[in-house]
Amino acid sequence: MTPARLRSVCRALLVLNLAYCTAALFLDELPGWKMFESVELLDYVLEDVDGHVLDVHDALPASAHLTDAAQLRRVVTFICEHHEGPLWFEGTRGGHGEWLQSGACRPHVPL
Amino acid sequence: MFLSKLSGLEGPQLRWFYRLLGVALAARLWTDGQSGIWRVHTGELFPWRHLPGIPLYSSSALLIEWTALALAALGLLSGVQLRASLYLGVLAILMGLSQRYANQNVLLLLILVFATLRFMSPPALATREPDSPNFTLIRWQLWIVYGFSIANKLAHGFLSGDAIEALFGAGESLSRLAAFGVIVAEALVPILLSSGNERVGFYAAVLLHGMFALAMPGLWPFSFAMLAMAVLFVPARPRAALAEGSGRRNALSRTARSSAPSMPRSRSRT
Repeated sequence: MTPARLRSVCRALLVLNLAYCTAALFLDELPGWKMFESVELLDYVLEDVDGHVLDVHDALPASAHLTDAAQLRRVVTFICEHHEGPLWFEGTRGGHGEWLQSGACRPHVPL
Repeated sequence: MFLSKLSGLEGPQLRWFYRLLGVALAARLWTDGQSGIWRVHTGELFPWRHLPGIPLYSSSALLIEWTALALAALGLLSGVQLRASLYLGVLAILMGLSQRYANQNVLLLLILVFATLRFMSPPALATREPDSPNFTLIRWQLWIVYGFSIANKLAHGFLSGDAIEALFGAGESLSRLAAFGVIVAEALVPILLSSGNERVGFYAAVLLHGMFALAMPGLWPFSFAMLAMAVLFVPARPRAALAEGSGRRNALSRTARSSAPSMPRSRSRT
């Protein structure tokens, strides 16, 4: 690649980069430089049939940080699928709870 | 591109850039190991940030990813086989991204890809001339990360302090103050780096990203990636020495021109 060509490639990459980041700023679905700009306060209870409290963080890599309810629901689904017996899941702010068990592990209660 | 108007790059800056990039890759490896990514691939832990549609690979494939990452980090740290190390780094980060999407992996990928562009230019430019437009692109990337991070934070109500309160359980007023401080610091670092206070800007970046990483240890790779980009703004020598050096070089070149008109300009090897 000639130096002039390299310069043009770099300019094009910069323009694309800026255009994508601008789009990501306005479209929530697009990943962008959104680093913990919004973190939901998640209050919930997850227990087994004996009343033992389960911590969702035990099922997560240590570097993971839950930032929204959708993520929490996915982790709870994973825990339920790998757990023997039903689990009680309750969103403490919503005040609603539900039993989760094999085949119906995805929680629907408001959080 | 206005950042190309900054002081030209010199060999020592590039060496530090590659070293810090190597440390960022090593930190990625370390945080992966520490946080239990292995157990994700054995099925014990939730596949955090795994992209839908792409199968989660086995722990043997993870071992290949980590080996590539370790070799790339070693190459960049030692300065041996830079080109191969950069390509290996791109491969390792691409493998990692296919398994867990994270902004810091995207940033590392962008920096590595932009750095490899230098080796696509003619050998004379790639090996002898440190000041190549791809490094201006990397300088721009630092502005893009800070700029859009601030814009996203402002757009999503980060200033209310709720995000910091939810993450760390800090009090309301402290969280609000910390949120304001983060935004001010993120604005200040690139401004300092680009306005003749490069060293102050670099130390401010060390302080800011050191604090981020201490608060959230999973962010060490991101912090070192940001420092690798920041070091490209810092002149290898203090400004006074630079001015003195250029004055001496001008005098030397004047002498050289008068005695040997066709003397070729020497260029430092990197």
